Amino acid sequence: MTVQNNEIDSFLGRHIEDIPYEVNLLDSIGFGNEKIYSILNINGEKFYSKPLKNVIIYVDETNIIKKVYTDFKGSFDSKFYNSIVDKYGLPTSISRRVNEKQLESEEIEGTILTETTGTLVECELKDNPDLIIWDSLNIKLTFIIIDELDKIELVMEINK
Amino acid sequence: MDGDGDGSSGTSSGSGGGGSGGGPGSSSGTGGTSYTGGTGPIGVSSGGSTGGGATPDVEVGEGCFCDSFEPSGGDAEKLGGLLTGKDDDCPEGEILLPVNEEEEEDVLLIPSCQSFEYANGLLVKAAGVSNIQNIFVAAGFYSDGSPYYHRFDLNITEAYFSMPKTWTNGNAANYTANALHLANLKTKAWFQENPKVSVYSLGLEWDKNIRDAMRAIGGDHSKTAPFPIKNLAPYAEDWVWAKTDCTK
Repeated sequence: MTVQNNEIDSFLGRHIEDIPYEVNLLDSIGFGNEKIYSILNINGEKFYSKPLKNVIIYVDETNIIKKVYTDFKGSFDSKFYNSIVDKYGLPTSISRRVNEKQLESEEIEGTILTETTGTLVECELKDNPDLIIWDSLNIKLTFIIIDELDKIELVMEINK
Repeated sequence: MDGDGDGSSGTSSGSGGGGSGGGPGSSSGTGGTSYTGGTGPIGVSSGGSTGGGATPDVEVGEGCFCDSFEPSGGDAEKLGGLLTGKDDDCPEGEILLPVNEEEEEDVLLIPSCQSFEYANGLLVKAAGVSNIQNIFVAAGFYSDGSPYYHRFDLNITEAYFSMPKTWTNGNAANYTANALHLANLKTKAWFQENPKVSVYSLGLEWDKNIRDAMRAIGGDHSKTAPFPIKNLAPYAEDWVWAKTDCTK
């Protein structure tokens, strides 16, 4: 097996056995057509400047990787932004949340649950966006930014 | 595949360690969860480790209940290189501060192993944690182009994690912290896939995922203590990359 690089965005579209990591089956979805794996031994690798801890991948019935999920600590700083732009061009959408409505919290079996809903409006990078999307011909990257946790979540998927 | 984490690719097939020698290589038997086989000396009882009739009284954080198990190098690598193979030190409870000694570098937010102050009971070792704060966000655009932003805050007021007694407290804490991060990530992925679910459904999904993640390493999660635990450790998240090894 020859692996050109370990960047997790290169995993999309590849067979699960063609990535340079062991994987661990977490779950099957539906009738087993889709499976979820975690990638082992990826702790310490990076997605551009962001260290990785855990990465989850979704594969289809032919074991082709269709989606990759991970998260990072930190803000969506210019260094990280520019590294994504260098590879994927300018983002398709930058937006922030508005019209938030927080419902009354409820406690169920020792867990306090609070729901907040809202919508999104387009904004610029300087406006502290909550969502940035790169939607290219082949690949879609969705970054969800959670300022309260100083955290970024990433969904990468093959465009249908 | 030998499961030693030598960098070769391969998928696990649910081959757990079974009764003797599974280490982290145990299968939970729930939801198809499995783990690559390991060679560590840990015996894992599938289906969880909590329960039992005896209720020894242990106060968390007092004393040191170290045991002799250290996973082999391959096993250590399987959970992302958390383990260093250092011997059976106990977590000492000190606060680890982020120290970037050389240059500023991005670090990762993960549940801190310092949250899990394991102590031995009669059958298992367990840690009680209070106020696990999770934020789950699903955001994007529906197929008709309309935007959505859904956020669920979950505050788990108390949670209990158990591991086999043969594990050191430090390793049990390390693996539990990683299991919690993995369960959170899997729940986030599920929420992003299902943005219209109720907050109650998301809570159930998180319960399932943390239980699966703990059972996959031979432990368990519950909302009741497997034995009386007087003090719950407050939940903490680390901003410290590679400085959360509780075996040190």
